[in-house]
Amino acid sequence: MSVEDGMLGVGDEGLGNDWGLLMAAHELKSPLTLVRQLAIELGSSEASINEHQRILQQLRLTSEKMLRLTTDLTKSTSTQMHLFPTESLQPRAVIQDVTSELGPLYEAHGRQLSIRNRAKIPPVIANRDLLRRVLCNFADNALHYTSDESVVELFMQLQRERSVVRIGVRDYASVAGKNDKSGTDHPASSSGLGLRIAQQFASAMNGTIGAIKHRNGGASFYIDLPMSRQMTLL
Amino acid sequence: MTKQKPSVLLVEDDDWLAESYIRQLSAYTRVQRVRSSQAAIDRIDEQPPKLIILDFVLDGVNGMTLLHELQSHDDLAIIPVVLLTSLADILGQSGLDEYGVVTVLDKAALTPLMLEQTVKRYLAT
Repeated sequence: MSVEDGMLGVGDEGLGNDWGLLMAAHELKSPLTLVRQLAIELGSSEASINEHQRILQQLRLTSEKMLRLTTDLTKSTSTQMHLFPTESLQPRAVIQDVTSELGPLYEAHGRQLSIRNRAKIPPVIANRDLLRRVLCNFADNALHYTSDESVVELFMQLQRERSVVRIGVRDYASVAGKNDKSGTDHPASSSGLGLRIAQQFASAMNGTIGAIKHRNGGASFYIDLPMSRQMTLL
Repeated sequence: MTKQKPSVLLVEDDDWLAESYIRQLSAYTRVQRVRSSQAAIDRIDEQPPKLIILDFVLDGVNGMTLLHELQSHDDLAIIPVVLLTSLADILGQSGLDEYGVVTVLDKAALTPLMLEQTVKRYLAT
């Protein structure tokens, strides 16, 4: 799988096979290792009260992240995909849900997740839960793979000529190789599982996902969804 | 006059895991932390540590790049490297000692006591 301008070369194979199980295990191992390490520290009672509070916060946020992944995995099995009806919905409301959900995680990392534009965007045909999960997936990845203090933004963009609305996550990470910045260049620790899940969710909504690597640094990961015709009939 | 604690370089890209290790290591070492192999190379050039604790799978280029780089310099090749990784059961120790790796620790089984004993052991050599 590669991240090139526009299309993501994500395969269509399902996740309920050996590859999927292996990648799920890989993606869960790191946060579980962290949870274990933090629990051991709490048990040792060497930590100060402030450190204690911070460790508890990290345990909660890491557990929530793992729960997001396990729920995504469950929903992405082919037997589940037909259970997600679509409706006309305002993407702004979903974006606000995502910033509410991931805001504490970003804050705990000393980072900021914001909404870029306030322009009026028409509604889209989507499933609210799946769209939220796709955007949470992108925002989780942006936090993990951009190690500098740059802002991460959720954005919406009308592409009228294609009758789609593009909704995504933009990071402004430094170019890889400068100082201690890892950038977003094909991180070795990524299994690609998150993008495969996002692709499945997008397909269930007749949408597509893609990515853009920006010349001035950082990348955008997005989902294109069909514009709702409801407003155009008024 | 207080004796300065020995310097250890921690190469770990997970911020919260690194915080946890630093809390433990700071009791008996001076810890510097970087996120990538390239940053480690730059830091070692400035001031070689007594010991390197290296996560093998890093964002960007992996730990092998750092190990190769260290071995290409006589003064850096002697710095002991402790590999701290989730891939301990796959990597093992075989073949890694020629890269300066003195031991491989499994992140999933690590305890504070194991970390302390390992670090103190190789700082004393």
